[in-house]
Amino acid sequence: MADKDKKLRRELLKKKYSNNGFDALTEEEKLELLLSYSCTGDTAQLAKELLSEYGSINSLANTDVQLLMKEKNVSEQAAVLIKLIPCLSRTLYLEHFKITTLNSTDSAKSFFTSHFIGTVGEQLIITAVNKRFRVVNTKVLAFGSPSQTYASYRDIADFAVKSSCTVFFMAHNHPQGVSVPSDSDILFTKNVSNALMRLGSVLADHIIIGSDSAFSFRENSLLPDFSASPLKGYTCK
Amino acid sequence: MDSKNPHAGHRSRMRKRFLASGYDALYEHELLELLLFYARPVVNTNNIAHAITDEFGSLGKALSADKDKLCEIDGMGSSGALFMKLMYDFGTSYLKRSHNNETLNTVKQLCDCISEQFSSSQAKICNILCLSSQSELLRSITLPVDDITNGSISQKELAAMILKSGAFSVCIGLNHGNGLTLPNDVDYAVTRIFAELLSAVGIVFRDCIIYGSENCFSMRSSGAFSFR
Repeated sequence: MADKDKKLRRELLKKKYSNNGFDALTEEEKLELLLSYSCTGDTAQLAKELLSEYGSINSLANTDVQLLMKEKNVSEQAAVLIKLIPCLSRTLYLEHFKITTLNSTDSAKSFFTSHFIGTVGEQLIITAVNKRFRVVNTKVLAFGSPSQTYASYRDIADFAVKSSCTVFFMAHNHPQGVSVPSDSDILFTKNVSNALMRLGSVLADHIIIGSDSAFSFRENSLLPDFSASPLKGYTCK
Repeated sequence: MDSKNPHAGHRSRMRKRFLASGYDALYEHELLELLLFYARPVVNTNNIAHAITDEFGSLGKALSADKDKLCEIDGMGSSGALFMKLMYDFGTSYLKRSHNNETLNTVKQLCDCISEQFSSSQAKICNILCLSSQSELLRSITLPVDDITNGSISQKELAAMILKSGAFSVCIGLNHGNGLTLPNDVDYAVTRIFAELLSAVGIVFRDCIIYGSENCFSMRSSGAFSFR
C-alpha cells in the first residue's frame, strides 16, 4: 500500500471515529486505528492478523507482554500502547468508584476487582486498613499459583508486624476462572487468620476475584471467628 | 536514532519501565506522559502531561473530559484530544463483557456447534473450541488432524494458541465426514495428546466430540474416555 494511500486511509478512519463514535467502527477498524498511532507499516494487515490470532482486542490486551512482543510486526511501541488499555481501564474504574474505605463486603469486592483489572496471571495480595477501614497500603505476596503459599506465611507476619494497622484483607484473583475457593485456599486462609490473631491483628476478609464474580470468605462463613463479638465496622451484604 | 528525536532515549526507558512492572511502576502523570508519546510523537510530553493534570486533576478525569476542553490545553490540539477520547473509549470498552458470544453449557449445544463447524466437509480436521469460565465460545481453531498426530504442530504451539484465547476450558471436535461416529485409534491418540497438554497448562478438558454423517458422539457422555 503506497504511503499516500495509507495516510489517506488513516485520515478517513479518524474522521469516521470523530463523526460517528467508537461503536460505529468494526473491531478490525478499532485495532487498525489504535495501531496507526504506534507504527507506520501496514496497520490494516496487522490488525487483521492479530484479530484472527487473538479473537478480540480485549484478549489481545490481556495477553502476557512477552508473548505479545514475540509477534512479528508488533513493535515495543505497539505492545506498550496495547497494554495501556487495561491500565486506563483500571484508572477509569477507580475514578468512577472512588473506593478507599473497605467497610463492607461490597466495597471490598469493588476495590479488589479494580486492583486486578488487567492483571495477567494469579496474584495474592495483602492490604492493611486503619480502624475506620480506610486503605493504608497493599503488598503483593505471591505471583503464580497460590500453591507457593509456604513462603507467604513469613511475608504476611513480616507485613503485619511492620504495619501500624491491626486489620488486614487478603485477596487473590482467578483470571479466566470462577471465584470459588479451592480447599487449599480455605486451609491457607484459616492458617493466616490464626497467625494474625496471635500477632494481635485480625483478618477482616479474604476476597477472591474471578473473571465475572467476586467471593467473600466472611460472607460465606469461612473465616474462623476467634473473638466473642463479630468484627465491628465491617458489614456483610 | 537518538539524533533524530532527542527524546527517544527517555521515551524508550519509560516504555521499558512500563513493560517490566505495569500500572504500579509509574505515577499517574508518568502514565499520562507515556500515553501522550503516541499523540505527540516528536515533542516533550512531560509539560503537556503536567498541564493536563493541573487542569483536570487526575488521569481518570482527563480521559473523561470534554474533547473541546482537552483541545484548549497547550500542545494538545484537536488531534491530541481525539487520541485521548479514543483511549477513553478503549478503556471503557475493555471492562464491558460482550454477551453476544454463544454459550455452550450442555453436550447438545457443543454437538450443535461442532456440527455447524464441520457441516459437509470431508477433511480430516480437528476443531478446538476455546471456552470461557461461563462456557462462552471465545475462539474456534481448526487444524488438520495429521499435523497434530505427526508433530508438525508442537505441543508448545498448540498450548500457545489455546492460552492466547484466554480459555478456561476446551472442547475438541473430530470430523469423520460421511463415516460413522465410532472412535478409532487416531481419535484416541488426539484425545490423549490434548488431555496431557491441557492438564499441563491447567485448562479443563470438557469433551471430545466425533462428528460423522450428521451425527455426534460425545466421548465424555459415553464413557469412551475418562476425563478428569
